[in-house]
Amino acid sequence: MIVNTSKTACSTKRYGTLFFLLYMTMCFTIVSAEDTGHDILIANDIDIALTLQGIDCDGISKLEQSDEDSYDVVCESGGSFSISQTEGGVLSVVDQLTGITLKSIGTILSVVPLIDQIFLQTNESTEQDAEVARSLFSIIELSGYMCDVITGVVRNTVDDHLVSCVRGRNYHVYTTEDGLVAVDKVST
Amino acid sequence: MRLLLPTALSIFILLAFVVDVHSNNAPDQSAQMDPKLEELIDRFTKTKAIGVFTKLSLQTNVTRLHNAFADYHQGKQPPSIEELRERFDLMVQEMMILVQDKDPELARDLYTSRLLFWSYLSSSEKPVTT
Repeated sequence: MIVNTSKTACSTKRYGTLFFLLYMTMCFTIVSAEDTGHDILIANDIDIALTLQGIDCDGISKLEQSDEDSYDVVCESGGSFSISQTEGGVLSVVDQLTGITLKSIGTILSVVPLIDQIFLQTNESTEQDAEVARSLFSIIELSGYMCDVITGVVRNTVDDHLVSCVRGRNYHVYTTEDGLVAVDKVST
Repeated sequence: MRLLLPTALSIFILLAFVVDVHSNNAPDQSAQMDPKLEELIDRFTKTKAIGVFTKLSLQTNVTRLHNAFADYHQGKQPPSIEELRERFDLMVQEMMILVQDKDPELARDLYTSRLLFWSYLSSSEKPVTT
């Protein structure tokens, strides 16, 4: 009887340890899944934020939190940026390759990748050209289409544009009668 | 806790964007913002359809447009009112495409209110000719 009791106690202890290990594994898995989900959300958020600034990121391949509200990211397209909110709540984007900080219009224009190319034919680009190009680039990319560099814009109305991108990609960006923004690929 | 800051600042900047355009010239009692617009701004800053960095990025673009309006009202040309209208409409399109899938009601209200926004921004202000 004494031996049996001892065996039972030993067995209970083993099951207890096994249960504890299983519980810890489950907890770790759940926490990891939550972290991964959170990282995906942050990466997607940052990708959109960069697109809105005219930066062609094509998705985030590496995400690393460097501070409470600061992240270092590597883009699928190869760019590397540090993105954060300043103490004043302003978006700060630093191009880690050039060291250029994108915080205001004066600096941001110099690094928006498509600005120099958009009016290549006339070799001129104004702030207006840059902002129109940036908006159209954002709308096209946020629609799931690709436009590495804008080569030309034809304005039909204020919210109806034909956009030419490199590699023969042309898009019609407009607002439908139902009030939805639409982007159609135009075959040449 | 700090994640609340951009939301609050977005509200502030968006409000400042609309209000400051009018405050560059003499105060105008008719420049009171329509409650419908205030509500729309509040909904946009609170929507979960877009993330914090996206809102901050939009805020940066709105600030740039605000600066362009300020230049215009100070008599600088460019931008012309037609150019500002194009930029304004494209910015509305950007905002709509960000939310029209996840918050279609907000996108629709943004679309139907865009002329009200534009009217508010442009009607009581006349460019200073130089």
